[in-house]
Amino acid sequence: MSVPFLDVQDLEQRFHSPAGTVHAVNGVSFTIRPGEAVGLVGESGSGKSTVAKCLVRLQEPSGGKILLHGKDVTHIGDGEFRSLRNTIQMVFQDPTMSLNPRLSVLQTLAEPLNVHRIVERNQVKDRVIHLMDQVNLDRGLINRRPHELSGGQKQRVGIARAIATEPVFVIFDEPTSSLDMSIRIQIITLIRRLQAELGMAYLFISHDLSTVRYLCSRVLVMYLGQVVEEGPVEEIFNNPKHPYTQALLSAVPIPDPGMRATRKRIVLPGETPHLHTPIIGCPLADRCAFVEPSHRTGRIPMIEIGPGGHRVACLLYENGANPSIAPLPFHRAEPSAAGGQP
Amino acid sequence: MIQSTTATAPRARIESLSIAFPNEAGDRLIPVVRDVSFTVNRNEIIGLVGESGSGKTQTSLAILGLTRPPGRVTGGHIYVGDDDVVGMNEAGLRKIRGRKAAMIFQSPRTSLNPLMKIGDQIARVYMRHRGMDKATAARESLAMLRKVGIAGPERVAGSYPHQLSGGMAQRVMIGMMVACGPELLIADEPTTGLDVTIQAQIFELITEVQAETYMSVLLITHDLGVVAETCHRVAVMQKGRMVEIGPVGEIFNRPVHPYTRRLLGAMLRPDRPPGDIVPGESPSDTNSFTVGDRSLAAVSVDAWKELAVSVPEMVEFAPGHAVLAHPIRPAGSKVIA
Repeated sequence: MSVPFLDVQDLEQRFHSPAGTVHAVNGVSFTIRPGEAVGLVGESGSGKSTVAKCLVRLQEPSGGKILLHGKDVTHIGDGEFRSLRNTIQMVFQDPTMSLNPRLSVLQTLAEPLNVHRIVERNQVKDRVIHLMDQVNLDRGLINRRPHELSGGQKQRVGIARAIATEPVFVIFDEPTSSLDMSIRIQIITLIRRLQAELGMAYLFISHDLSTVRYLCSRVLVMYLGQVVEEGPVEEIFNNPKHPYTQALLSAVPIPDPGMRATRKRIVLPGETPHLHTPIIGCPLADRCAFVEPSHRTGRIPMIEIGPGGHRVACLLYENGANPSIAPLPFHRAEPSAAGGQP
Repeated sequence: MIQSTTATAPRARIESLSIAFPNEAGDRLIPVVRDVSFTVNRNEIIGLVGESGSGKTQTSLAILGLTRPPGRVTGGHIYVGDDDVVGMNEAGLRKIRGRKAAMIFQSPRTSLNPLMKIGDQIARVYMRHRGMDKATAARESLAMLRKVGIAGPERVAGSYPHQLSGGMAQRVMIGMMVACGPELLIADEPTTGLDVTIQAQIFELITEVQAETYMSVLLITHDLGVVAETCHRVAVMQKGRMVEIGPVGEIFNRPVHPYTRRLLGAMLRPDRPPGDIVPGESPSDTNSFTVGDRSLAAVSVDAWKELAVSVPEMVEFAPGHAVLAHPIRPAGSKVIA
């Protein structure tokens, strides 16, 4: 097994606002190995986008460490960080906002090639065309500007720009959430193909669990600024342990009317609280059916619970306990079952 | 399969509805809904699915006479109960809205009055639509908030819309619309922007209220998972046309129209490992089939220009399951499939 190139240790991010300090990220730790496809899921307020912004230095974290190839890059200057751009790239949620409206596709894609001297000047256009081919973008669009492109085409440009510097690591921040469903699946299959072809690692941030199951081999589940569960994607989906993960998975609608009658849904009472107070103990304590007084103190450790590094931040699993606390939200998939028969 | 009571008249009957907007120059009308017909039966939740630009929202707005000028209904009828909404004046529409048909929108906060406390807004609905006095209306408002699952209804009744979370605001909105006692509730992507756990709660609430009140719900959504879990029937729209309609089980298990097949083929399932999912590699633009002795072809709207030579019609493929299809002409003439 290869050595992680990205090692995030105890990351913290606080924002100060008139209403008080917001504890957006509270002690998040994870690693990513070369070529690994990791999903980061959670609902609004979970801190998943803040983690991404800290990784690409759109924000400076207030605590913790980010190690890249063993080097501490948490607080390095912008200039020094720029030299890492061919290591880390990011694809944003809204392709309209992240593309310069005045630049054509050619100009947009040529820029990183020139800045990072990826190819000789006279080969830039050839490389741009190659990039367009890689993301299935019609070559005829090379001189178009963003407003002359569809949403799906713009996101293809965003992805081509990200892979232009041949990064070892790409962060996708909800890249398909603004797209229509048939376009969405095209972008998702594109990302999967590129990963297979280029071997890059990525962190795929999404609230769409079906997409994460499709695109990722490992998944981190965040709630209120903390990672509450992580592990191999199939292990998490088939065998979720944290009460929050169980509730989250059970809430995802299954596009199969045959499952309607037998579907079990776990409802967490209340809503995600605001982050104005520091969280002591389990972040889910107020909404959890299994909470005990001891869960409301200290920091909940990650406990090894299953194969492949399946870990959960829940004291129910302390000292090797493995209680069956909730019905399986999904039925185990029968490989050949095609659709549900009513 | 849940059967609607077809013996009684439908709650809404949309007949050959067409809606158009003028282009920028104002010299031409661009159709956004074309010749759409369907009914909303009593006591059913019917889904209207399609992508942006499919006309699903325009269709639903027209039911309440809310087509925004310069857009206008260019043809057809919309019967809500016995009354045709098309061409109806504001006074007539006011009688329809609220009591017969009510609508909840994507962003509940923009539909609530920002300057009025939640309790007062709901009470006003009771006073206007149910003729209650102030004290009774206030009491009923609290009961309604409790019914839509709001903990601490007194506190929420005294709050302003900006003090509510998105999920709470949508609950309030649903409560307010249900307070009108509508026969038909139109819900346009009511969970957009809400988290998946909150979304599940909102649809559970809509389903519960529907079952309790026997109202009909027209649910506009792009999420086929939501349709599969919530709706009895579903209608699929593409580029302003309805291309397929039927019971949810029928449409998911036996989709006929190429566009429906494409949508269903593009679905990822949360409950299946990826190896089991083969996302649709854009299936064919046409699908030929026979009904009785007729040979027909369902053609994706995108492919009409090249392929289609005749006017398509909704053809009943199975009981209650209809698909927009072109007749295939006998051998020798131009074949479209």
